[in-house]
Amino acid sequence: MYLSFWLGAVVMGLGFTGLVLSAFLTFRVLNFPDLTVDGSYPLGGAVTALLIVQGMSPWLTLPVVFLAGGLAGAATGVMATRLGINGLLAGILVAIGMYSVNLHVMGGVSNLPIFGNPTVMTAAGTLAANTDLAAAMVFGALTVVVILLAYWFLCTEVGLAMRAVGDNEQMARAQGISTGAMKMVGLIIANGLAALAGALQVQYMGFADVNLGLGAILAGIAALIIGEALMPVRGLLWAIVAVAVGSIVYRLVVAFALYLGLPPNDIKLGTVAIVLLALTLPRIRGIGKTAR
Amino acid sequence: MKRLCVLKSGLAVGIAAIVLTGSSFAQAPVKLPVIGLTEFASFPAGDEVRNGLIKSLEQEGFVGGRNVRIDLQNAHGDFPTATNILQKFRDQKVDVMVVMGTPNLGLAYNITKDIGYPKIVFAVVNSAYAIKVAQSRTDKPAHLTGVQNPAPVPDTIKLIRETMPQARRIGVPYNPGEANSVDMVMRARQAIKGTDLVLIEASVTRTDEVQVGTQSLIARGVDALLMINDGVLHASSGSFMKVSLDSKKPVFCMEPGMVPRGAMACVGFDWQEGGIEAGKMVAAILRGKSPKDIPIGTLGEDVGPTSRLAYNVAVAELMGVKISERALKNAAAISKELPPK
Repeated sequence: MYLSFWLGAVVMGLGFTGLVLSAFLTFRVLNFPDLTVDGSYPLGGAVTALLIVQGMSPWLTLPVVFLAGGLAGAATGVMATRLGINGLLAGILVAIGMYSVNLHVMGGVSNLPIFGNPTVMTAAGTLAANTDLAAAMVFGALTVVVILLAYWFLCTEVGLAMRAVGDNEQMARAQGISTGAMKMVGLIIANGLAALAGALQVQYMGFADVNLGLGAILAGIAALIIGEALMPVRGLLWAIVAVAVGSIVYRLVVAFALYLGLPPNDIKLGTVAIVLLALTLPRIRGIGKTAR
Repeated sequence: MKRLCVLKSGLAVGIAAIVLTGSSFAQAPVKLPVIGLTEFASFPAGDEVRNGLIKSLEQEGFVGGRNVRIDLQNAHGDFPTATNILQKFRDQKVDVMVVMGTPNLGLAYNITKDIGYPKIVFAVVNSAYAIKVAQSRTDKPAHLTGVQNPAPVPDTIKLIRETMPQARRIGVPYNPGEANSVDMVMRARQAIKGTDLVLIEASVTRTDEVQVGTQSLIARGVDALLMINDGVLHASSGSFMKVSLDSKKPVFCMEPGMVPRGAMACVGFDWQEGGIEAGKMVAAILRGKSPKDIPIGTLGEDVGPTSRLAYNVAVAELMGVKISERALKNAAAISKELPPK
């Protein structure tokens, strides 16, 4: 009952994981508050729409999208590490500038439709009769791949060095790690992931919109914290899985607020109330430490 | 221990409340037709359309709560929430989905194009053709129809030429993030080709940027201001008009309701009228007509009243502009007072 409604929330939660993972990488691992995603998330959507309309395979657009997001992250990185601009401010500056960039990418229009063009879900349309189920399967598979790749990366030399920088920058520098380079790597990958999330959302919606990124980072952080509160603390892989869980739960919470039939102006307040309930439940039971 | 008891009972009450309210989602007590109405974001123009729609429905005999149930939703600018709302309407198999705002139209089309239901009526959309949801009035998905309200841009440019023939530089603030606004500015650029008018554009993406953005246009030297039907501008019309009156640069607009608020001259429609026309379509569908047989309506061209002229003579006097007697005779409304400070 109401399958597409609940599934829709799950699918969008899965698609959004890239952005929550981005927040995890920057805020948690790298200890660098990065707000660039408000710009790189819609950039991913804009790039995928532009390429799909030109006839590119929707799957092939994904690596291009990742690179595009990476460029945005690199811009923030250069400002923060080379130009000496405060990290938070650098992210904001890039995010603001990206609004113009995204409009240019979309050819000057703020809404770029891709109806009728193939998306990553059309291939899966043959797997399941229900398009939302097909989308869930495709996005689910992609999310698993991304989680495993993220886990693998964070265990490599570069990944470990990045974690060291986030943990104790001075100590990392003393060990000979180039903190500037590690921040760049982290920002590039994080924004590449955010752009991927934007691309998936756009392929799901059927059009790109330049306003997609408004408030994206807030939703990402909310989802991140929900995931951390709900999942047990059992090491890095669990922490990364918590990211996906948080993303899905966040969208389900909003769906639940809609299901309850709350008056439209109270949806946001209702969402907050449900989130608070979800966060305080573990504390009541005596469990619940955040993954810090 | 006691705290745990209180919390457990609180939880039980909470769950009971949720189940009880949730069950109202699953089955309505009486089988009334359901209209799922969703707005993309809250803004004054949208409120006016919605009011016009509900008023129109009542005039057609459909009163919310009595013989029809109106499920009112608002996505507050969030795309995933907007998607989820439409999916809810789809799963509930509402009788008609009324979607307001171009993003909502795109999303509604996307999730219904393969199944052909629920029926869709759109409003507050500049052009369904621009986002490739339909190709013409009748070349469209069978389950979809609605009211487009493209602003009468060429008529407004003509109005500027007639009212202020010596004007050359026209300032246009707008929100480049609104598809409709970009479209209107593009049409304005088209409309001034062949004239000696020059458009000076300023980007305002948020309501608190409108004052500064407009002042920047004044600083760059404009003879008049063109107010397009932009959500950000409409929401901060107060500060926009203030800049106009303080700098004595008249505003030409496309919404007659703005004339008492300080615009000097206008040709166009009030937002409400789009809602009224959409309401008529919804009523027809509820009475059994198929959206297939309702062509897409363009306000002022094939549905609704023709565009109206309105002038504010007090503002014109302040600006030193003489509006001819002939022009005033053609006007549907003449305001004689400056807006309150």
